[in-house]
Amino acid sequence: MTERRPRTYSTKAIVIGQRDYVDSARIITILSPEFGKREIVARGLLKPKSRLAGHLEPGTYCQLEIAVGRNLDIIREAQTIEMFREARSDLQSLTIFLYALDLADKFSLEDTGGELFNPLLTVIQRIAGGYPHSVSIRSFEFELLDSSGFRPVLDQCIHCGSDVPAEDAVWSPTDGGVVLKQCLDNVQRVSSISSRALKVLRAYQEWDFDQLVTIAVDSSLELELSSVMHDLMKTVLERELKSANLVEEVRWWQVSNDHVTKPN
Amino acid sequence: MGTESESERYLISGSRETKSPITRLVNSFHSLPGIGPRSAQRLAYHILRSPDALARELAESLIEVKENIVLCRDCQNLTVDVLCLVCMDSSRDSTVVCVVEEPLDVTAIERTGDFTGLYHVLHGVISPRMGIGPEDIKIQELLSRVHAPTSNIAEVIVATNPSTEGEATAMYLSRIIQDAGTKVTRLARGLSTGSDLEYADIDTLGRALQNRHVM
Ligand SMILES: [Zn+2]
Ligand SMILES: [Zn+2]
Repeated sequence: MTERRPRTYSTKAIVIGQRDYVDSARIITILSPEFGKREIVARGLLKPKSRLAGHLEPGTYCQLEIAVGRNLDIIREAQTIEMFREARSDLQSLTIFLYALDLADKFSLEDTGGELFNPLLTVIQRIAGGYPHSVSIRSFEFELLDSSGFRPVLDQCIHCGSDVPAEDAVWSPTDGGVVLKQCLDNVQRVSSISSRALKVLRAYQEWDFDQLVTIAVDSSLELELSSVMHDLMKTVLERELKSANLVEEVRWWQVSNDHVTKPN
Repeated sequence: MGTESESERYLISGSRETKSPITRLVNSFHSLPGIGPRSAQRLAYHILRSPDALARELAESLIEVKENIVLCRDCQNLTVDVLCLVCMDSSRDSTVVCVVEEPLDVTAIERTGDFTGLYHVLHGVISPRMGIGPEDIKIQELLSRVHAPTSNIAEVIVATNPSTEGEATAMYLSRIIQDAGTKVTRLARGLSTGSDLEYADIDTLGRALQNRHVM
């Protein structure tokens, strides 16, 4: 018996990205709360008069009317609910915005990941809403790690289980947590982590967002946190993340600009 | 890939032997970007019905392209010489450089007849999700051009597509080029978001170019 599928369906979704398809059509990757991550065809999208144009840009929260296709489904109607203009207004926000979309993409498989919809929408709203980018994106990273079973161990040594004082900790992205210095030989790749970075990460893992935004993080600490977390995300996903590299490159410019005084 | 069975419908039907010359031709067309199975079949049958001269011309030009086309030393556009025709033309204004994503965008802007400066072709756009960072497109080449001791470039017009990735690339370029003290401008709004320069009509594109604004 063949299962009868409805010929069209509608869903709210966040556009994760686009790629080339035939002629002026593009393949759109969406994340929907009901259907998870899905690739859908948008016909004629690249033409200036397309009805869909502007509603399917990466990061757009939209209402979609979709027709079931033989292979890929086809977008009939797209209506923007929110395009998060503020998150696109400067390079730093935009690179973090693209990084969040990339993470949502890489952490979900075809037709799964619906549970990531709300966390993704929340982080985008925060990036656009003027909350500190670093807190917004770190919270999202921790949520992704928790939901995929890669919650890092930040209090106990991943080798022997003893409590780890922040001052004695070494960080192992491959083993997903901290190790005591005396247990170093038992883990794969290790890198150093400052005690204040570890303390902040512990807070990110435990505290509510409202409390987290009250933590003062200077730019050097922020850079350390992002490099530790980007490294962890790449290790968990077992792949390079160009979006993370771009965030760091752009953030570095900003920080070096803040510190460099103009030569006479 | 999701298009397999659609491909099969168009590519294999009408031919019993899978390796027949016509099937081979259809499949070759279909392997090109932007050519769907239907278009591939239409093109193949068009060639079949056309005079022999067309087929010969096509075959020869395909081989010539592969053997002789290189990237222009200065602007990275496609050319048969060290420099392309635009870069060689001394009547063009070398103080203005228009940065585009693809060679086809150069053709689109040339059609407006409004632009007399030079070009720079990035061969892509920053698209981190697809694994394309700034280091993967011709940005370094652009910087070398702007920074060259002999450079008289006063303005760089960023004419990447009005899409999210096009904007990200524009902002990135604006930042690194302005550090070098060169004015950076962006095409005016008016091209609809998410559309491709390649499909824009000549008037709209010409206006967007004329009404460009400082980034
Ligand atoms: Zn231990
Ligand atoms: Zn040239």
